[in-house]
Amino acid sequence: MAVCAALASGLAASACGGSPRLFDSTRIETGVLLGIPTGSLDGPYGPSPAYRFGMSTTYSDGIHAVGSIQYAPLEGEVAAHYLVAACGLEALWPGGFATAALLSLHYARALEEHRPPLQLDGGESEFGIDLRASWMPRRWRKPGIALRSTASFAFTEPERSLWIWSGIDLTWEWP
Amino acid sequence: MKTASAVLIVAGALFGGDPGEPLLENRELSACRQDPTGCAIRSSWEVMANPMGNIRPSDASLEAPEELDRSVLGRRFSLLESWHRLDGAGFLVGNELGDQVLQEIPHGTSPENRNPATCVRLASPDSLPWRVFARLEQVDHFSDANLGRRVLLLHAPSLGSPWPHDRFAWFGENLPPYSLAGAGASWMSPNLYAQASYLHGWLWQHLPVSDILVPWRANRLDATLRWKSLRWNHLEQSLSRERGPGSVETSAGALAWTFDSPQILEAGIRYRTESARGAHETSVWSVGPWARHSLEAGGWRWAGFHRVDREGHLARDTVGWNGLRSRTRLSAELSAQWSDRPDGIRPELESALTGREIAESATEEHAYRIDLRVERPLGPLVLETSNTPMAAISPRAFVADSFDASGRWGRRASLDGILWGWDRQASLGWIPSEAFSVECAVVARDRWGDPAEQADMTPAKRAVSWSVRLANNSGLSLRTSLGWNSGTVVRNLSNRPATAGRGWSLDAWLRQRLFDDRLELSLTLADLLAGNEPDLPDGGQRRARLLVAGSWNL
Repeated sequence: MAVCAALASGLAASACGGSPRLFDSTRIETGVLLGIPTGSLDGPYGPSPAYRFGMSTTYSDGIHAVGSIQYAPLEGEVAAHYLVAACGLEALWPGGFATAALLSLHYARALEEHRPPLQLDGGESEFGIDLRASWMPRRWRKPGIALRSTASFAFTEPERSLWIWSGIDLTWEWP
Repeated sequence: MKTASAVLIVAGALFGGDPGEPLLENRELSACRQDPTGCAIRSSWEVMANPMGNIRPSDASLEAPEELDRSVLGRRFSLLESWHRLDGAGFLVGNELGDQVLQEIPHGTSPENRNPATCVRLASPDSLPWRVFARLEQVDHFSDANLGRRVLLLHAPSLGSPWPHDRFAWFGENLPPYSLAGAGASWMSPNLYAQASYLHGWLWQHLPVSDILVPWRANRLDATLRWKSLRWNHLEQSLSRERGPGSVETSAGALAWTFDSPQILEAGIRYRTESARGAHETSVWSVGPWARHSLEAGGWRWAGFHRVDREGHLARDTVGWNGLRSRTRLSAELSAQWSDRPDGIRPELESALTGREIAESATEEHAYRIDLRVERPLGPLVLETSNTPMAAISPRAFVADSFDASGRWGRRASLDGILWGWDRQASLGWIPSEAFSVECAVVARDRWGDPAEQADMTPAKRAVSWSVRLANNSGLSLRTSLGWNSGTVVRNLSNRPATAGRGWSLDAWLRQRLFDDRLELSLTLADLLAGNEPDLPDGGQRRARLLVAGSWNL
């Protein structure tokens, strides 16, 4: 019980029979995605690759806290860096399926200055919401894989922006 | 129970989630709560936060002398606040919702940009004798209204330059209204405490009386030395106008003796010299005694702040009682303030900067307020009512001679007669469990008397709010607040009075506490029903904003 008392003040507690806590189990993830722009963005941009690094950890029963950062070098009408950082909660379902809702911060910056200048030349950011579905075969955990598809909304004007990002992550989970 | 006037005090949401329980600090963006004049960031969202309207805050806030030095020409800037509160590490990033980002390419560049706010603070643990701290604050919200004029004054900064001095900001190209960064260190032993800090950056100010927009480059050196019961604060501040003539140099401080008592009892001397160069040169100085106290016994409390010097005098006192009678909490408070320079504005300096005659009345202003509260729990219900009659004799207001493209011209005058006020509030809370609570409140405010139609601002007459809070046992809590209020009337910023902020507002806060509450993450959605319209003269568009903050208590 002394161990449980010590754990209760800090991180892992599921070993003592309580609800899981942060870092009872942690997974890091890295992968490649393909992004498809929708709406008015599918004119200036075509499908783009993106590189993603993420982390997931236990939060409570059947729920993980998740965070990720994703970079895409966009090529199209205006070449730009496109960065999306997100964090949120992921619900785990039977069969290795998971769904997540994340708050995201989108940042874009043109790769070169324009005349007349664009706001993108100086970098633009906006918040958004990512809704994500994943499938992670349970038999592989160290290392493992995850197949993901994310609908990534940004609260932009005059239209909301929506990208669909799909791809594969390599994962490592411990303990 | 928190009185649920959240609709009126949503300002607390900016640098913290819940107005009642701030994350980093419960702060406004600027000086707007007193008066929209003097604020480069100007919106009804800020102005609505002033529940007292034109009547002076005569509550028991124990304004210490060093707090007066958060002012620039008499307007207080919360970004210049004391370092003493810095604790642990924290960050905040926020944005007005609706930036174009990549939508700029298919739809073309919009003239209405959405602007961010960023705040980062770090402080080492105070368990060691040595302590270091640093912070960066850059706020750009509600600033589109005068972006054109800012660009006209300083020209659009070069995107290619990596130097902050070329951009007039620590980062970005928006010419933000505030961009300040600094660092400091302190050392503490049982009898001695020493602290020094330095702040550098840029801030834009509408001059308090003429409303002229000025870009300042600010340097600020603060030092505190405390030996046993004796404390000395000193401040050196220089403001240099960017790309134009004008500067203000300030040297100010205070000596304080703290009486060894469980109560607050302090007295000392404060001093200030200030010089301004612009159209002509002038300097002012003052020195004088001050005292503050907060004495409590048997449910009674007497708190006050008093100072007198060449610039004028201020006396503020509050006598209050609170107690419990058969589960009913009762409180009564009588507050009064007397001052001949209640604004703290230094018109001599503004005259030197603008080359125009800036006048301010020195007639004695009196403000009185009685606050009566009753709070009664009835099972899971909590009822609370408050009644606050008040009066101000010779209240101040700006009386305009003319408005033109360069500014507003006139004088800060004392109005004849008595401005009367009566605020009432009733709230009902239903708190069936720790995990769920509902609150609603109604507020009524009335102002009358001869000066009522000339006052700079009349607060919203009616307001209603509803608030729901949900929490789980993992430290996650959610609160939403829906409010309606009638308009705040703002006079003297334009030829005609303007009504700001009338209508509905919706705010939401999501907070996660972790590691025994040492880590706190919060998400604030502020003013979600905002219509992207400016509702103050020369004001920014009222916009929905999303703010993310985190703090780590070391």
